[in-house]
Amino acid sequence: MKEVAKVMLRLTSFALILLVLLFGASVLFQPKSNSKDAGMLDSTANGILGEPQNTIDVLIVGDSEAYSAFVPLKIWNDYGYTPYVCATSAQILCYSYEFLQKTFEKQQPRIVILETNAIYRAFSDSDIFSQKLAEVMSVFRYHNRWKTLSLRDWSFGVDLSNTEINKGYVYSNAVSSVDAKNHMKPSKIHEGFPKKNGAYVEKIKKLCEQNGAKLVLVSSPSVKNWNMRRHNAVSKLAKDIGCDYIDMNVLRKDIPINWKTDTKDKGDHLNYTGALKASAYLGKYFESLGIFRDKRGDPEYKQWNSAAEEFANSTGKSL
Amino acid sequence: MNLAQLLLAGRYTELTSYFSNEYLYFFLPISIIGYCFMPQKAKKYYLLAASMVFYWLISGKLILFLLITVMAVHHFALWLDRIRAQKDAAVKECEREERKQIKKAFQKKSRAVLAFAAVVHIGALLMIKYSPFFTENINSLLKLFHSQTVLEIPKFIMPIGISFFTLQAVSYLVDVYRGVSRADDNIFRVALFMSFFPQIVEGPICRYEQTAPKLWNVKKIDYRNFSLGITRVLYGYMKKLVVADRLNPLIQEVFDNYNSYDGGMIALAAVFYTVQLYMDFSGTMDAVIGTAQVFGVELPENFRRPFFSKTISEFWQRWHITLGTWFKDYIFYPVTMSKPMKNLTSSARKKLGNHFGPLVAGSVALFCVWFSNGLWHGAAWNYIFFGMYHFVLILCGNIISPAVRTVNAKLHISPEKFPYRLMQMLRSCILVVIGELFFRANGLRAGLAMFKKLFTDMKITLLTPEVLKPLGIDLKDIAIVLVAVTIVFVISLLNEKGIPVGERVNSLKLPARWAILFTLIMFIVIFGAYGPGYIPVDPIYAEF
Repeated sequence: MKEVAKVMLRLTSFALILLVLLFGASVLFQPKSNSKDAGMLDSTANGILGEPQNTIDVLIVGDSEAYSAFVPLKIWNDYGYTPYVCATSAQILCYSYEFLQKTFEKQQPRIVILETNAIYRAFSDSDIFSQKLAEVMSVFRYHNRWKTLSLRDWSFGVDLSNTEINKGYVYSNAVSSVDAKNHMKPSKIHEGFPKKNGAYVEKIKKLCEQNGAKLVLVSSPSVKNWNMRRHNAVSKLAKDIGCDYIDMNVLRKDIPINWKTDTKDKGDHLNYTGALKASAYLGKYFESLGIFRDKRGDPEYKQWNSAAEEFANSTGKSL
Repeated sequence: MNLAQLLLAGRYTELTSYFSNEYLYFFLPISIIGYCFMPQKAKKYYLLAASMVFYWLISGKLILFLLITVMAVHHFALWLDRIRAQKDAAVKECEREERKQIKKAFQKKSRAVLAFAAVVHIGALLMIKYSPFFTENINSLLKLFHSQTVLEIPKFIMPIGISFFTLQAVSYLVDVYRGVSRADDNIFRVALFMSFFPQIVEGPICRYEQTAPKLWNVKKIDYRNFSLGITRVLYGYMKKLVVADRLNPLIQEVFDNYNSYDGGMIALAAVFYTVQLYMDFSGTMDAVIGTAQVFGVELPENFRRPFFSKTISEFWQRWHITLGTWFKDYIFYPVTMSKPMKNLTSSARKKLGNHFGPLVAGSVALFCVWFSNGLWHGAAWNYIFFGMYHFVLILCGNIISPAVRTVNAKLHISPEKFPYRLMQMLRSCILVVIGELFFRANGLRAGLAMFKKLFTDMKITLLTPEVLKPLGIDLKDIAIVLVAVTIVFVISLLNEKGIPVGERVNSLKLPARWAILFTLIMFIVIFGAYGPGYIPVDPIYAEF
């Protein structure tokens, strides 16, 4: 018995010291600002952390389809609403969920848009575990910062005030056309997605409801990633869980995507001209809901006007 | 949802890597904790159950293949044993003159049973792993002869670990046939030997007599074994995550796009691949042997500092040792000791003398070993070439060794002196790196083209940040790899000098021991190539 107690004491002490070391390393490796220069991963999406409290109307999560298709500043420019795109490359739904949790701590968006391509991206229990572990101990996410550690990292303070002028959109004016004559060919087949993903969409919906937001599923135009089989399956999912679904791929009249000029990579993602069309439709949709006010004249939202100006200057394109 | 889905059949293929989260944070701790709480008598059954659950999780319904193999092996061994018992009884009852004949008759019978068993087990392996390769080559031959016939390429799902547990099965049956082992009537013991979860994916390839009793007589976890085992597992993690996986982007890029790189970069990639393969495989073995040690099971070593080898022959006695000894015991010796080979040796000895005479039959056996070795690694020509390359090197070594000895004696060169040994080690390393270049190349044609570039397009490029950036690696990565490789080198050197580093660390006072462990853990956590920006790299030998 004494022997067992001794071993247990040793194991507990070992675990405690290890935890102290891991938490200590997490403090060191945590980026000290939410900017790219400070080493923050997905800094464009993490720019949401720097937005003033309760100033975001709409939050958009998803993968590269989302950050390529929606231009928040276009919607600001046209309607004075404030959407933010928290999309990251190859985003999996458990990561979308984490973004929403983080955002709800500071923002109260009324609408949350989930770009549906992420529903078809499988993830494992290991991905969920790694993510939870990294949430608790950031050394597991930021350990690679040993290459760029500076004196500033040896402090406790974290400044999360950095904002992104593009509000999460990733600009591209590249053009690489695609033949889209078979795009959205009629089909009655439902293309299945992993069961875990369906459950996560429901989980996301619940989280939104708990925070006073409405979840809307949106499929951005993509010849490569979207088709009628996926449309059917996601329509059913939306119906089953009771949320709105907008498939921009079938709204050809409202969103007249020209696949010769509006895609940057052969129909995989939209380029800037395509994104303007998708965003214009989204703005109109928000207006139809009648729940947002135009804030263009509001001095509290001055930074959105300057962001739009800066965006236009840096890209040389009008919104 | 069917029952198989409900019970997570084949849902955790990630577990095939002993470096996955699933294994490290869930399967291993749960197995250890459960084992601690099991009554002594149930511990062996618990290990068997854990091994079966492990296989079920990684393979799902393919567990049936493993179970059938276990049952077949158990049955064949008992059959062989029964024949021996019948022989013994018959020999006892008969007259002295008849004994020879009776023994011969029973041996014929046992040989037929063994051949049948070998056909079943090796045949299954050949069919599942190699039939697509053979069919592709038959199709190529048919095309060469302008035949219109095209055979359909068969497709099989390969049970994980088949290359390893088939060899274990065959070794057990041959040992029973030879009388080295007694057939075990306990099917659970046979099943545990065949399926022990830490070693089913990548070996080591164990022998029944050596390992089965240890597995069956497991005791409660003791602090010493636990501490030594965990330290060894961590050492393996360091090798795999800090070195092997960190080098992967450069290796993959150069081997996949070798046309865009000069000979210097190809040579660097080949050296890096050799380091990666060693760190990956020996690191996995450290994790495997360390895990088994936690349960108090001693598994055979698979590596003994191979880069200190002075000849290629010695290298293969230090690298993948259990595969090498398997080929030696079950291919080399049977071929050498077969009647035709014995006849060949005696006639060759008369004509070629005492050195070269036995070499002729030995070379035939060596050819069989290296052809099998190459093919065992994979159904592709570059693996066969890899085997033949080592066959030629070892054969040349055997042929020229008397001449080398004579020259050394005449020139008063002592082979025991350090500079000479160092030269031998460097030469062996260079030859190994060339072999690994073919081993890793995407096909034999690519391997030959890369090898050619070493001579026709050799340039020395400085590893500047601009050169390294497209290769997915930077100077800091290389620096940390060098630090880790230096640690491994120093530990290997100490082990080579007979200093058991693991034991020494374990005998230190608790604060010092813990300080080393914490340093090792934090070293892996901080400098490991995992998480955002890294694609997990499956253990290389799990694919074989």
